[in-house]
Amino acid sequence: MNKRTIIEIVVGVLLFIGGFLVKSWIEVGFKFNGEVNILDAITLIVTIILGIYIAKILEKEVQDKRIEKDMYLAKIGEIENFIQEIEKLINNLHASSISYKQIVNMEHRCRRKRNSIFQYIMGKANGKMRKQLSEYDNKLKTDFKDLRQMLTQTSACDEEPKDVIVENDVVKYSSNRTSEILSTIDSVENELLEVRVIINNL
Amino acid sequence: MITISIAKDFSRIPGARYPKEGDFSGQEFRTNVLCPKLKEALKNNEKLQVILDGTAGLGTSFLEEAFGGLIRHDHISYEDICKTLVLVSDEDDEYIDEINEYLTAANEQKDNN
Repeated sequence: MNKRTIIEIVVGVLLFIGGFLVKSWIEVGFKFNGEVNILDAITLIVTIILGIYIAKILEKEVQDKRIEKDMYLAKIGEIENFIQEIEKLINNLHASSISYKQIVNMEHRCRRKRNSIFQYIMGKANGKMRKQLSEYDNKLKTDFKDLRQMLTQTSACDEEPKDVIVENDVVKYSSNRTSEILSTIDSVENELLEVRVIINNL
Repeated sequence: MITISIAKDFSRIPGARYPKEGDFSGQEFRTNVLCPKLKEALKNNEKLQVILDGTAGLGTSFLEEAFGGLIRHDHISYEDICKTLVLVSDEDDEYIDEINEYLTAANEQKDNN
């Protein structure tokens, strides 16, 4: 028996005793003659059982919804973690060298994660929420596509200056490109925050 | 049908555009794997299936050089590529759209020159 059930039983007993005490102190103007109509008794019992049953169901529904919400929010958190890792790498660009393949891999994993999570959430959502999520899904798709181009597209011609230079698998971005990448990451983070708000209003 | 898998027949961790940028570049893939197989498929009037799954990720430069380069450097016509190439990606179908965009862009660029 868990702690909560014990508390419920104790509170129930205390209320019952309290009721008797109140009855003995206050004259309410009616008397209990010791006879109970069987139909009244059945109605009372059924009402109590229904009350408890409905309360339990509602509580379970609320709990299930909360668990579902938390699960979605955790999934959104996984995308945010990837984005933050990329942001960290870009911010530390001058301190350490970054492997082009590592950037490609992180972008690939982040995009796959976004696709699978949105596919799952959209499948569960309906009505207004689905419409709102679809709007952010499209915005994120565009931002992820832009981010991918900014992070991994090297020039096909030898024209200078280049925004992305890769030498022996080490990638370097121009300051303009770094700013563009960080701005797009900010947009993605804001959009993910909006998605969090939508999910929280479920 | 001839089938090639980037992960199995080339590398699970493909690189950037040119060999000077690092190993397993898009140019190497096109020259050593994709273009010879595409020419063979065209010669035998077969389809060439390219499986994009199983890699650690494909950079835009790699894809652009590998597929756009077929038109730009190997002078294979856009029509021949479209009728022969079958792109497969269960993991990330956005790669297929991207490759089609690169082929279209390379074809338009060729027409403009």
